[in-house]
Amino acid sequence: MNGSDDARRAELLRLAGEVADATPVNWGGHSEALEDSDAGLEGLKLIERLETAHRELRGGVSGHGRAGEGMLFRWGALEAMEKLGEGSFGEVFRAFDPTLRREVALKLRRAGQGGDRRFLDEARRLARVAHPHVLHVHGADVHEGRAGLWTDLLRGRTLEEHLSAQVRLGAPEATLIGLDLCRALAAVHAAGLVHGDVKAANVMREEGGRIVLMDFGSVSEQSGSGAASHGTPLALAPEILEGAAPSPSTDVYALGVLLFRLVSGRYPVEAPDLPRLREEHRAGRRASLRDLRPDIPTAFVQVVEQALEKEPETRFMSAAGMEAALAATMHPAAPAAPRRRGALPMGLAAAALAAVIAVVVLRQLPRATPDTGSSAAVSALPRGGAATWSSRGGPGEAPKSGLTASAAVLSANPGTVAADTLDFSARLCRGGDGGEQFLAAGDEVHPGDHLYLKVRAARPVNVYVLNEDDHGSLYVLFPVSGSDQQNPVSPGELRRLPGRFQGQEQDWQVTSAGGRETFLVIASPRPLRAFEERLAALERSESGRMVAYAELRPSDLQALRGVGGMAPAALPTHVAPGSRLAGLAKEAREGAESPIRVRSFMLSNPGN
Amino acid sequence: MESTLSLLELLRSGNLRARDRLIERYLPILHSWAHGRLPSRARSLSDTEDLVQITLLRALDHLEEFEVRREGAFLAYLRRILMNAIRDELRRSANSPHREEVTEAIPDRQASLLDEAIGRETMETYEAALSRLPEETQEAVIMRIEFGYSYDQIADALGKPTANAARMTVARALVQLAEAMRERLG
Repeated sequence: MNGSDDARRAELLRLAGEVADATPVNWGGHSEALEDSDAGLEGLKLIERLETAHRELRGGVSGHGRAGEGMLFRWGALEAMEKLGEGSFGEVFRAFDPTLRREVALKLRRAGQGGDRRFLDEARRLARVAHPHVLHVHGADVHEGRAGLWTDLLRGRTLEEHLSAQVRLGAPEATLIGLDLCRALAAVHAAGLVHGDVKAANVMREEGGRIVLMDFGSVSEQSGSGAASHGTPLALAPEILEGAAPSPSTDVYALGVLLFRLVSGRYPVEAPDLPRLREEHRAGRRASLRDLRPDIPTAFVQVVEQALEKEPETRFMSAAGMEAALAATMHPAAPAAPRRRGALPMGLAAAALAAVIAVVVLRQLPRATPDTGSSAAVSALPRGGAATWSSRGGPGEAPKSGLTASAAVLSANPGTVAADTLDFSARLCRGGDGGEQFLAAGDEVHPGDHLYLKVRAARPVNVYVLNEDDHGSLYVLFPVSGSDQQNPVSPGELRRLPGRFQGQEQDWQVTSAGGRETFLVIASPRPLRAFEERLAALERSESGRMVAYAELRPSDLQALRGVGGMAPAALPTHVAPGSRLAGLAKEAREGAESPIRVRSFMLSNPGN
Repeated sequence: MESTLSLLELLRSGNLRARDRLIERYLPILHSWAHGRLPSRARSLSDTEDLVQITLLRALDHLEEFEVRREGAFLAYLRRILMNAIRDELRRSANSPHREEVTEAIPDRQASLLDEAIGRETMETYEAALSRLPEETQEAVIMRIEFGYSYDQIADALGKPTANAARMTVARALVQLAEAMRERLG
């Protein structure tokens, strides 16, 4: 069996798992390893219909509480359906929350083992952390004498399971995982907490590819009061072994250990027992990552080694510092500015303004000059990446004067000189009681703002609008089903996107504050089929529904591997090189048979 | 909870309480299963109950025909004899005097709820493809898809170490089934 057969089989198994779980299957979002006409794919679709029909006949229409299984017991408002695991701490169940009508994971302590108060305190602290890469704790309580907490229900494999399958990752993939975990730790630390047990077994890679830091059994307040650590000794920072309290720096160390293991399969410092482990640390004996993996980039090795420094003060100052260093390993040519939430560096904002004035109607330019019309900074959208469709707030048809965003103009066909004119223009606008406002660099948006895009083209054009939030989560904002505007968008008149839904104009609404957002607008005279397939894997906005966090699937990670370090000059400079959006922009350009326009709007949403 | 296998052993040794426990356990799930497969004319509650109850009792009274290997095989066995009983019922109704009453307006009183929901051709393709799969594969499919067993229950019934292992078994079984179905449909 060759690699593509393996990939096809793996993808079929993934989809079959979803059918078996009775979760909605995104049939359009399968990986390229599967042909649309694949016999297995067709068969699975039939089986999904069979499964649904059987489930409905059993009366389990809601997708939970499968007949023949029944509810095991009730704990408070939750219905425990299936035991998922058990350990010294207690038990974990798949449970159903009838109020919110969704499945959750319920972690129950054994009755009468004491320490319930500490457990509940811990859960309350965890509930403070809301981050896409941190397991979300919904609540904690005591019922029937048993303390418990409930969280998102994750399906996937832990990184430990990946490691035990003898999988050693390449640096690009480990870097992407490391970036997600740095962001997760930054959120945990920002809440005044320390995770305390960052290790492969506590990181889940969901079936959708999302990396989630979980199991906060060792979490402690950053009080510095010498709380005992329960972490795995081999992943513990040396100062912990000497009795120091867990700190953000010890989490950074543990993440270094995890990255070391992901690429090498080994711990940096190994010993058969605690005394000898201390001894190894004191003597500074550590396996050399370079020796174990001579093939991986030096920049990556350096980041891991700095995280593993014996002295806390010589490690990265924070998870955010490590994130910036990791990001820089992907683009050695482009010095990475650390991403700081809520504040756009002044220089960048000024450059963006200059660019805004430069270009309004996009015309194809030779590739040699793509950066001149680079960035447009506007401001908008949510920290948690939550955008909803909502009905339009105001009339908003009184355009004010003023140029708006800038454009990065790129050719799909390097070397061609500007012969073709698509004459495509796009303006990001804000509607509301005050009428319509074109958004320009430096503008701020706030929760509740309604945004939309006005486009005009000289001939039929296929438009794709994507949004990447501060966490690297991607959403497809257009095309979207249900809208009267569909690709190709008709030429001539000014068109407003996302369009009308059941006769009513809809906008994108800013639903939360904080962070930075990038909009990517791609226009092509022909549909970008390969690109559309890729988009199918991303979360789509829908009318009236929160756009949930979405990640690329593992198969997409493969495709993105090449993003790190590749020709950053070809990217619009304000799309963070190496970001997923940049990867998609690149794919769109490369997959296009005809000239396309790529334009992006970088927005900041500092909150109040 | 006593396992099905231990109850079957007890029943073989003449323990009638074990018989009651088995009936308690299997009657409801077989009833719901049969409801979807009976033709509309035989779909009334009492008809379904009668058919399922008689079939289950007969099966338990003829246990010597069934070699006890695992719970999954027992469920597949019950399903098979119930399926045969339903087919007999279909034949009977096709040959009954009621047939003359069937008019063009109600063309398909032979159709079951599942036939109506997904089409008779798909159902037939499914049954044919399923019957060609290895026994354990068939059991994994019917337990999850048709009877809605939890992965824990499937792990017990098929002797898998964990619920996750059972989930993988089911997923693999569905892929095999999917390919077999598609082959038949061409």
